[in-house]
Amino acid sequence: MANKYYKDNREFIKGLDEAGLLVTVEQEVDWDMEMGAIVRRVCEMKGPSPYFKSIKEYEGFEALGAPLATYPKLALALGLPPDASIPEIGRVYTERTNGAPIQPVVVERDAAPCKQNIITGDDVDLFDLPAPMVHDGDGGRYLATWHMVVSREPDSGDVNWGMYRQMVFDEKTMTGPVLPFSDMGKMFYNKYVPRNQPMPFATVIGMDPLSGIAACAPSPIPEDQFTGMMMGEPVELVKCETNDLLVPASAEIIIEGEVLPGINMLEAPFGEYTGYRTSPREPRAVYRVHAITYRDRPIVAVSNMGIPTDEGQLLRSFSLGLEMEKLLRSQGIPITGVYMLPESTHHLVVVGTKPAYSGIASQIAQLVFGSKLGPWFHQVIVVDQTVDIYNVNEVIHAFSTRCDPARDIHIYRESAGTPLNPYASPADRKVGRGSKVLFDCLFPLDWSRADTPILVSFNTVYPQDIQDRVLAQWTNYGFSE
Amino acid sequence: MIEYDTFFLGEPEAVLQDEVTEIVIRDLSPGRRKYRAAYAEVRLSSDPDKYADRLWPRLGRGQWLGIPWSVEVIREVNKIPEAWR
Ligand SMILES: Cc1cc2nc3c(=O)[nH]c(=O)nc-3n(C[C@H](O)[C@H](O)[C@H](O)COP(=O)(O)O)c2cc1C
Repeated sequence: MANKYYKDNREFIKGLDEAGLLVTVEQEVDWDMEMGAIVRRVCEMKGPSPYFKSIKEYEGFEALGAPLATYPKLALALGLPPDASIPEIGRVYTERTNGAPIQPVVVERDAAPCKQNIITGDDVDLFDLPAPMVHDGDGGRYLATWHMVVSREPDSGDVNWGMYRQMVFDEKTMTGPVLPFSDMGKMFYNKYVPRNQPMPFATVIGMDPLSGIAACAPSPIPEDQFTGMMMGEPVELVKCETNDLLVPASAEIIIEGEVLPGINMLEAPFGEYTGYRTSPREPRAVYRVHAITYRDRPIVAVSNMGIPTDEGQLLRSFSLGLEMEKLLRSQGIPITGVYMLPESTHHLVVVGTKPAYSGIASQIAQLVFGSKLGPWFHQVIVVDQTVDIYNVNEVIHAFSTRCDPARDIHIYRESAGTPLNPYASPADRKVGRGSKVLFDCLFPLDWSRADTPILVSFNTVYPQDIQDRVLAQWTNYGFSE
Repeated sequence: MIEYDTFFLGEPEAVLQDEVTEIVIRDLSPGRRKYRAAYAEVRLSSDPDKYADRLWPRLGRGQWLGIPWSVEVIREVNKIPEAWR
């Protein structure tokens, strides 16, 4: 049975509006930094998504800013009430994505809204689309900040949807980083480049929210099937005009073309998800554009990377944490939960465990650092089951009181990192190298019971009958709830 | 006079002046094409009046220096191989 979900970007905009999570901006805004500045402020305030109805110099185009940068918006996208708790959102996501993959269906061209306008050949001009200048000082206008790039493995035919930022270079060219350990990076650098074969791509802008969540999730399941699992029914796709790739039929804008082998052109700098402009302007992948198709009155999506919280921080933290949880559980590690803090720009993960044996924290850290997710984060805090992993105050308390600097901090040098890490030296950034650290916040198991400190909290140092009595009498004492 | 900007990837003092050199310029003319980038053979100078067009330098992480240079754009260079244009 299908789950409750939004079939396209426009239904989602309506849903955001009905939930009080949208502000419709009727007055004209400038694509040159004004739109970006509004979205940035919204991200920093965790505010409602701005729906821009009028963009300077781009009559007929609209834009949606910060579409999914808060937990209430994420809950809504999954068909839950906006006030659903983080563990509840995580539970629903995990439940839906643990079943059997659901294959997509292909619809006819006539039934695909994204084909309402088709531009090919010499008429293709990226400057006809309102790519925002997101931040002052960026290397160019970024058309693709909340989007997905579709590509296919040339031998296995496996499909990949992923988010890989794209900067408009000129009328028919975009440039962007394709990190070598990402799914698209592996396909492009290991298969297409050695064969000197251009890799067909399709950039999808303004897809339905679940496709977007799938595209930035690090799941091993192909994202088109993963989207179907979240929807509870197949996602509807349509064939591109100039290649055989399939794209969501109801997306707002599709940009088709080829990633060229053996040539790089300058991209960046760009305000990034870490909250800094870190990676340098340097030669990066070249996307050559052959066609643009779009819905009538297309709505461009604008995310604004910077200090928390943006889409990348929230959704990558969410999905990286939950994929890590799946991995640890699949290995039989006795964990109680995994939570990656969006405020850490998905650099810090908290793992709760029942410390069943010595060395369990190291085992957890080595597993998650050694997984496919490893390059994206570098700090693991392992706490026991008495700590609420979603409660930052409790995590800080455990970290500050149980982690011995000499015994419990384990450093793993020269691991895989990314060029985006602000703390890494310029040399380490260049090669995508970084150190990792484990903060083991478990009391050692070889301490005697008599020597192990006792946590002093309302929940742990009073008999149950006293707790129940105090809670029952709370308002009678004169306190509010 | 056309206004461009460019990103100096090293220190501005190390930039080759008055000789033909290849850089990426961005056209700052207002309108839909603002920020269009191009590889170009140019001559440039820290003297703002030496060449006909204006060049605003930025550093590698986008820092705006606020000091005008001048530039002569000799020709754009298309980096895309003929077969893939
Ligand atoms: C908004 C956003 C922008 C991203 N930009 C890039 C990028 O430019 N290059 C890149 O390699 N990864 C980028 N990522 C991370 C990839 O999206 C991520 O690795 C991929 O979608 C899913 O992982 P996989 O392809 O390794 O399975 C970005 C993520 C987000 C959320």
